[in-house]
Amino acid sequence: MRKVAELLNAMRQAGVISDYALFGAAAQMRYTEAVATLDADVLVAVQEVSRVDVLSPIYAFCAKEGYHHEGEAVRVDAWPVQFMPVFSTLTEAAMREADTADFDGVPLKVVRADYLAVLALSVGRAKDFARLLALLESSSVTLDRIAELSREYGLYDSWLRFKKRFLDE
Amino acid sequence: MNDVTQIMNLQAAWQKTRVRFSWPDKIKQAELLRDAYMKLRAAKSSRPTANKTRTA
Repeated sequence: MRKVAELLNAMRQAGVISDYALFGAAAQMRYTEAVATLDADVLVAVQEVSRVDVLSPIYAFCAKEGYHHEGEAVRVDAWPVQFMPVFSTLTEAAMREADTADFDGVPLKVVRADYLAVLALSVGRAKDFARLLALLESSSVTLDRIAELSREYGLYDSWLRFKKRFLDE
Repeated sequence: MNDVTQIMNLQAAWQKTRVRFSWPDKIKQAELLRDAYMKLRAAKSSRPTANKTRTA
């Protein structure tokens, strides 16, 4: 993951992306116990949003650095990295508000627990609900904060359904 | 306290100690978990399945 952090910082410095933030299971582990995951998910803001192949400059930069794509991911050291351009006001805010964590001496931007929870709510698969429950269990996010963010991003009904299904006895 | 409750309390306490690892350590744990999973998956896919029978 250190190599991933170095690559992302270099990519931003070179202007290939204007910003990034790690999300998904790898980000969740800042707050919970370790979980099994196959890849590292990264939100990216690309410079030329009008391009159809928005990820091409990213893949080209990775190739120049010696990292090649395997399917939809780029293999960086032990991690297949999936790049996801920000595609909504929620993902944009999650990236903008991300923490800068320290990974073995290298800064790495990581989506915060409250945004991870609401991103999980917006996707809504079983594993996303498990992530949301794990974040709540770790006390890294409060019910009130999720309610607030879900209202802001039009997910309040989803939140109420989740709460009724998993939290209300 | 019955046995099941005691076991669950012990499990919860153990999980809490794992949450306290540093983030880089947890990422390294996840790498090991993934390697083990990939090996199991590779072993499973190379094993002949029982219901594959040759028909004349």
